[in-house]
Amino acid sequence: MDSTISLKQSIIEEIEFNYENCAISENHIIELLGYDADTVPEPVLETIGFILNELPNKVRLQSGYKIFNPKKVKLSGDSFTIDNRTFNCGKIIYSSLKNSETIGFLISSIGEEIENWSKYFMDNNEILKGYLIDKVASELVEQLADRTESLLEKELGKIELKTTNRYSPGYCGWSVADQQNLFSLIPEKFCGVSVNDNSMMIPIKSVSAVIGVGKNVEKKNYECSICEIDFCYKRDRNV
Amino acid sequence: MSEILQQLSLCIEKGRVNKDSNYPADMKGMPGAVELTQQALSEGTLAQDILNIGFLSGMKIVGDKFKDGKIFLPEVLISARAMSSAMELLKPYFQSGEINYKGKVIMGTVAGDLHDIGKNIVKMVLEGGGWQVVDLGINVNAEKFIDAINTNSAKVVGLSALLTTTMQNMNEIVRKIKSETKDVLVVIGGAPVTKAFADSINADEYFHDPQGMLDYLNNKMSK
Repeated sequence: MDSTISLKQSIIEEIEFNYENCAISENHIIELLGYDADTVPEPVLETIGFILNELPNKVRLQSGYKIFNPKKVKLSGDSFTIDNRTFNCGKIIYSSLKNSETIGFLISSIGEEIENWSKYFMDNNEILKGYLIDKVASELVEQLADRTESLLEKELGKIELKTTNRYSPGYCGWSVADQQNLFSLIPEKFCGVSVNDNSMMIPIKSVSAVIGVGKNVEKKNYECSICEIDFCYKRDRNV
Repeated sequence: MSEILQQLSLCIEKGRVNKDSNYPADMKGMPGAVELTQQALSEGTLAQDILNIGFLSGMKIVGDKFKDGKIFLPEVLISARAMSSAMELLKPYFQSGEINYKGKVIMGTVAGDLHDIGKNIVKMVLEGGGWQVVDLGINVNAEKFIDAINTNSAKVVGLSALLTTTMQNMNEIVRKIKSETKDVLVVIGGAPVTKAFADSINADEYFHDPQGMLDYLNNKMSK
């Protein structure tokens, strides 16, 4: 993003990342599974090694964002509207977005091949491999989204704007059905991602999110403590 | 418990597949679940005893440890793999009717949803607990569930969904199963599903982990 660009117009960027920029460490996966270096069972360690070795050939890391012209964005009453499309994000998310001058969308995806890879092992009775590939894939796409969020934060910092946390439809009390609205406001197959009639993203290992942008917004520690959903991967990720 | 079945149970618990396996390190060079099952069969041990005393008691220990937070899911899967490898040797006994599963469970991810990892893990845990699972895969509609219930004379069906949108499809599926079959328990699970949601759609039970479903089946349905 050019630092001379202000937010008088919408900004859209699509970026392809190298795997090396988002690589996940063995230790990180071990911790995600609940182990440490001393307690991780040998077959799990071996399988993680196998997966991390093959992973660069199984993923395509695509990310992008769209920041809307502030004139198109309205925030009020636990919802926000962009181009006449209303997003009922709910109280938790609205309280974080409410001081935003505009809204950004963030999309990240690691592609479809890794799903097939996991499924191959699942179908061939190697459920540990299939499960661990799925787990690694979920973490990789979140890490890609983290990376993209940081990049966006840095770019917006150049024009003295800050960002909120990112929030995804389907979490923190926000209906996943709003994916339809979200995807209607970005180009078709943006970052290779589409959404089906059930608001499920294809490829499955994709992240979509909104982020508040403005001079008076702030990032908070993730607000799992005020969300009512007990069994949520975001909660696991933040514990 | 005979010594061989005791060893077999330990191999299942520890996830030791066969004698060539390097895992676990403290059992290296020792026979695994496959060899012990072969040996037990050749010595005339009843296949039903191998299943109940060797396999299921090992998996029960694993399930209890998982429930108590002493081990994590990958270790359950390691044990299930050992059991599944040795189970191949018991297949002819299931086919001949010499041994029986505890019962049959129909499972599938509901219409509109393409996620199957969670459902596959539940399937493996149930099989490790002695249940036969008829897996209908993903994107399964009410008609396919009902057809499988009737074809298999099953008394339990498990529905899975990972999204709040597809979870809504459970409502119609539960309603149709309840209206078109008799005495079939419909249980549901998946990340967005809650007990309150299960109650609201008249599902019989909700589980947030595979062990919960296995315990429920063992308590409520075992012959």
